[in-house]
Parts: sequence; C-alpha cells; structure tokens
Amino acid sequence: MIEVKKLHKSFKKLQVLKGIDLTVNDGEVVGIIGASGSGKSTLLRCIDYLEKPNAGQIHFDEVDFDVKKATKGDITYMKSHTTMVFQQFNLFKQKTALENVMEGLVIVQKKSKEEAKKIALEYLEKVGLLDRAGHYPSQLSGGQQQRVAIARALALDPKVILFDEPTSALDPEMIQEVLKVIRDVAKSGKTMLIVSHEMNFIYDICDKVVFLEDGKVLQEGTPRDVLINTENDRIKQFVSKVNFVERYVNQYSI
Amino acid sequence: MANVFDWRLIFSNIPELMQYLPITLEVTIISYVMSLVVGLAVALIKIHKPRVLYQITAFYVSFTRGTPVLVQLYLTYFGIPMILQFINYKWGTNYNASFIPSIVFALVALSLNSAAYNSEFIRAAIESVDRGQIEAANSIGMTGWQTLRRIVIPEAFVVALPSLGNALINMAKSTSLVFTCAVVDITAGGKLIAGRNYRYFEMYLSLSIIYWAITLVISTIFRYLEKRVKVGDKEVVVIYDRSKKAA
Repeated sequence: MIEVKKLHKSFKKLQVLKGIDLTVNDGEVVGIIGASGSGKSTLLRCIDYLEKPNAGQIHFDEVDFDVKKATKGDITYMKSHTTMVFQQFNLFKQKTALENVMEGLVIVQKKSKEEAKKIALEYLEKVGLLDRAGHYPSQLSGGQQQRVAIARALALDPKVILFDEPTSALDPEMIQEVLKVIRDVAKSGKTMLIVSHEMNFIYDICDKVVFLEDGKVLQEGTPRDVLINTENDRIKQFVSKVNFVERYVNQYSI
Repeated sequence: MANVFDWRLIFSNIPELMQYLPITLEVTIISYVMSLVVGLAVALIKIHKPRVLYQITAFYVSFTRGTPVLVQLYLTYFGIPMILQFINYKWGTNYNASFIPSIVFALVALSLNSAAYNSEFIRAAIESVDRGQIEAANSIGMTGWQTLRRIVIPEAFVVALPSLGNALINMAKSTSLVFTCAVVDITAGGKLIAGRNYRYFEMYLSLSIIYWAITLVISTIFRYLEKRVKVGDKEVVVIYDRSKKAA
C-alpha cells in the first residue's frame, strides 16, 4: 500500500531522515520505535505531508512519485488519504466534539450536514463518547480529547491513520482508555502507523515493528524479532531501558 | 449666569442633532468593516511576507501611523481628485472628481487609517493560534484557505475581540473629523446648529453625551460578545442523552 524509498528530510542543516525505506501493506499495523530525535515523528509527518521531504520516492496506492517532482495532485492525494492523530490531540478549540468530527466530513468530503452528523455520532459512539458530543475540548479530559481526535481521524475513513505518540501527553490512568480505542481500530483491519513508547502495547498490536536510529532503519521485522530476539546491541540496550517486560504483555490485552 | 450657560440647551439640542446621527453611524460602520478587511489582508501579508507586497504594506503602515488622521483626511480629499486629473491627462479619460460623493473620501481615509492599526493586533491574534490546530486541519485535508476561514479566524477572533471593540470605539470618535471632507456628521451638524445662537459650549456638551452613549453601547455589546465566545464557560449542549435513551 505504502512504499517509501530513500526518504530524506532535513531542517536547515539538521538531517533528520537519512534515507528511510518502509513498506506498509494493506491492513497492516506498523509500530515505529526508537529514541527521541531518531526521526520517528518526522517520518509520519512526511507521509502526511505536514513536512515536505527533500528527496526519495513515495508509492501510495494510486500515486507514485519522486518527492522532488511531486505535483499538487500527488500531495493532495497523500494528504487526503492519510490522517494524523497527534500527541497534543489538536482538537479545534472553538468546536464541540461533534463539530470536530464533522468538520472534515463537511468541508473536505463535502457531505451534507445531516449525513456528516450521522457519521460523526456513529464514530463518537465507537470511541465511547456519544454523551460528550456537545462538549468543547476544554470541557474534556486529555484521554477523552484524544478519543475524539481518533474519532475525527476515523470518520474520514482514510487509507492510513498515523498515530504520533498518541498517549505521551496523557497521565497513566488515561493511557489505557486511549490504547483500548486504538486496539479496536487495529482489530477493525485499518492500516495504521504508530509511533509510541508504549512498548508492551506496540508488541501486542503491531504486525511489524520498525526501529529507527539516527534517521535510518536499524531493524524491521515482527515485534518478537525486533523486541525480543534482536541481535543488535543498540536495540537490546534500548529495550532494556524502556518498560518492556514480555510477561506483562498479556495484561495489556484488554 | 443664565445668559452665559444654559444647561437646558444641552438636552434640547440632542433631538435636533439626531438627524445627523445616521451619517455618523454609516461612516463608522462602513469604515470599520473596510478597516477590518484591509487590516486582515495586511496582517496576512505581514505573516507570509511576500516580496514587494510586504515592503509596500510596511511603508503604508509606517506612514499611516506616523501621520495624524486629520492630515490624512485632507490628503484623500485633495489627493483623490488630483489622481483623477492625472489619469485624465495621461490616458485621456474623463473622470470627474466632483461626481464622487464626499462621504467616499471620508470612508477611504478613515478605513485606511484604522486598517494600519488593526493589522497589528490582527496579526498578533492570528499568530497566537496554536500551530497544532493548523496542522490538524491540514492533516484532515483542509486547504489553506479553508483552514484560515474555518479554524484560524474563529480562534483569532476570540483573542482579538477586546481590540476589535477598541477599534470600533476609536472609529466612532474619529468620525467627528469628517467635516474636513465636507461630510456633515453630528459634530459638523452641531457646529452648524450652534452657529445660529452661538451656544457652542452647550452644543459640545450635547455632542459629548451622544459620543459617550455610543461608546457605552459599543462596549456593552463587546462585553456580551466576549462572554459568549468564551468556549469553556459555555453551557454543554446535550446532543445525546444516555439517560433518556434508557427510559
């Protein structure tokens, strides 16, 4: 579905991505892990075209282009078929939960208000927030805001949902409610890319894990390959420092 | 004392002044709206800094803030006919400045003056909008224009609201200078009426009362608006009530 080849991105003189190759198949859940500053978020942001990559090839379903020669159509295609769930939720502050979910449906997908409302309520129900539809973001907890953000992303039915550290800004009690929703999304067969430091969760729900180090892919494979059976000392060292304990994994299976 | 100062006149003047109030309100509202549109455009130029256009607006803002509004009214009143004359001379056209209603000069001068000031707080308000909001809009596929219209402006509006109120109050008071452009607003009308009996002082007091009342009305409206747009204090809209469905 997505095939990224030799993707480069730098901010002024700082090279962040130094030639990333990544393949994501239809319906796959891919976890992207690595230390802070390794380029995880930048990779997601390049795929959503929030950042323009400097060099590389992107093949995404119907479009196949060299990023240096990307046309407006290519970029629009990338943007309209990928949706990001942000660390800071980024709900529209002046809109209710319902309006947040409806916004893209009405403005981008040009659906009628009634239809958009029906779809939006359906997705708010999926994330368990139907009774909060009329609340403004400032009237919701962090976990609830993130669930609304997930509903907003899901409602647009993008081909890929990108999760950029979706639980990093939440306190421990709220992390679980958000992870549960993401898990449900994963089970529904949606293609997803997740950047997260919740190693147990990544281990549990991902089909594939990619370990980034200094803007390059250090290893990719099944969660077991990367997190447990790795031969790489750097990854061993990383895994030993994050809260990954294999025997706890099942506890996270809510 | 009754001959020097007649306080009853202060109030009896007011009904007669009211016939000029529509002009004052018209100039205030039209100039205000235009000043916001131009102010927004200038603010966007200041933010995105397109070449040439940015330099032009920087000059315009600097000039406008550096000269008194009274002088600017004279400049438009005498400047626009001169420009027309020049155009006629250069291209052989036949525009006649005397067909331009004098209110147009006042509207142009006041709105351009106010727009220069407005652009500054509009810029600050737009820049106060969290980048994450723009990225979220971008991520769900909204275009730059849609994001500006649907997300950025509504949020910037909340921040800018107190300054917007101030700008309107200033505009209402600046209209007292439009007699320079031969527009008869309440101040000009007051002068004309007072010319009949030389009771200028009473007339200026009547005018003060009217301007003060206008200002109070504007600030009350804006206080109400400010309360309304504060989203956190809004009452929750119940769209779906779990308890009702169960019943």
